[in-house]
Amino acid sequence: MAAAIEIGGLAKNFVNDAGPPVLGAVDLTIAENEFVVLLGRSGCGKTTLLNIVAGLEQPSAGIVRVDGAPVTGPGAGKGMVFQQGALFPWLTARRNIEFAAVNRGVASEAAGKLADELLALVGLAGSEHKFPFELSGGMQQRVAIARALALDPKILLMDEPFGALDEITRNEMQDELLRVWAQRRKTVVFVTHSIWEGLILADRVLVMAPRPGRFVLERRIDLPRPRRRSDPTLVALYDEIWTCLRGEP
Amino acid sequence: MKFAERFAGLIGVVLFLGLWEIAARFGWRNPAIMPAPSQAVWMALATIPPLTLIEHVAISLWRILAGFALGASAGVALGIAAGWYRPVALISRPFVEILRPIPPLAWIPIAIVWFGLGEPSKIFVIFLGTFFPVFTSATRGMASIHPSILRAARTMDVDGVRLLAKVAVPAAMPDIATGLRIGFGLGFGVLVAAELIAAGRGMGHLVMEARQLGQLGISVFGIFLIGLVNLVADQQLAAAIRRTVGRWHRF
Ligand SMILES: Nc1ncnc2c1ncn2[C@@H]1O[C@H](COP(=O)(O)OP(=O)(O)OP(=O)(O)O)[C@@H](O)[C@H]1O
Ligand SMILES: [Mg+2]
Repeated sequence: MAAAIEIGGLAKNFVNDAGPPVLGAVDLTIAENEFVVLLGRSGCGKTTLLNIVAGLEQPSAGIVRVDGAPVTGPGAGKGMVFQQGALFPWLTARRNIEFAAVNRGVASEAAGKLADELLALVGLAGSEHKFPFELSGGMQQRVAIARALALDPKILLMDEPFGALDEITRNEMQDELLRVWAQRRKTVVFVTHSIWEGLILADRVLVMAPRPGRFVLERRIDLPRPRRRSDPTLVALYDEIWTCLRGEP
Repeated sequence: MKFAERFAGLIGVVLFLGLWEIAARFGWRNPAIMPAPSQAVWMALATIPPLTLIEHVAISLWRILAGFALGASAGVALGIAAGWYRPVALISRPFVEILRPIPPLAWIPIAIVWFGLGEPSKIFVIFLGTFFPVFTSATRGMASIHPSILRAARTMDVDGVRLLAKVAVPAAMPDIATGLRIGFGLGFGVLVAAELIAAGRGMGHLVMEARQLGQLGISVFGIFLIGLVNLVADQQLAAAIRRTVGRWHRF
């Protein structure tokens, strides 16, 4: 399988930050259409890593390649879903999605069609004319996912997209995301604090430790989806990951 | 607002005017010093021809709109620029911070020297009253845009002037709108003072002239009139904001 994302010797120090590096020489190769989950406690550098892959932040050392080409800046090949608050509040759900499509060069009529299609895909047909403040947190994140998909990116970067949701909505959103992912295969890098979320979603889970940010555990999960939390393999993995996270200083 | 709430507000007004009326009527105070509201209104309507009255209101409104239009455009444009481009902020901030606390009225003598006794000096003072709150709100609006909004835009390849025009300015609109409303109120507030500058007409002039002629009732009427016109104008501005920014933002 071809590598979609290659990260080599990636390090990051913030200018006015005297502590140990936020990321220290991280290596990671992600295959095309792979669903990778990054797990780790707050402050271990997950967002920083994701922002560098997205081209929103410059690394201090090392390189990121997407489809073999070095990342030099943000671009429509890389869609991103943020934790919350990233929708444009002055645009309706539909216009938020159209905005993204138009910026990758889709004609405005086709963009409208695409927006309707994506709204239906994320289960929001009928809410297209609502503004973000009129949508629940879960619905807002569905729009955010649809908007990222409107860029037709090869890779989808998700930074705790369900972190602000209640558990019931969160579980539903995980199912939704897997359904969408099954229809539109993408390479996904998904950041979360929730071990269970990682286990339900991932092809591969990477556990990070802080300062310097690095991977301390890597587990491949070959179980078919949808997965059940009672699955003995997952229960064992949960214990292993929890022990690893708790063991950190 | 619900009807009952509006009605409650009306009770306050009626109560206040009623007590004033009674106090004046029962000789609690000399009517030459404190005329009853009904006397004030009656006196004004009997003395001032309706057309003249309309003229006073119209000329005041024109000055306010002119001063507000200039102050608001300059405040929005400069505020956005200062909130977005660091060099503009570095250059304009200290300058604005020094001038901002100076009451617009303090500028009146200078305004007369610069612009003479005609319309421009009055408009200039209203301009000053409007500019600063609008500038400050616009700058703050630009500075407090949620970083994720700008990041999200950049993942869509939106940058440069497009990022400013299509994303940052719309995102800052709620603060800009609030600034416009505050600026309008302050501009109106300096109107009376602006019209002290040798104005021959206008609501502020009406108030001052009547006092000099010893017709205090007309002064009182003029003050009611200023309050009422301001209320109506502010309601119009608020409604315009509700229809636009208010569709997607809860103020
Ligand atoms: N712009 C910045 N300047 C200085 N330090 C920063 C900056 N951004 C992040 N950091 C530091 O880098 C470290 C990692 O931050 P990051 O946001 O990547 O963590 P995270 O794993 O995403 O945390 P969380 O789970 O809370 O979102 C933190 O110690 C943080 O203080
Ligand atoms: Mg983070």
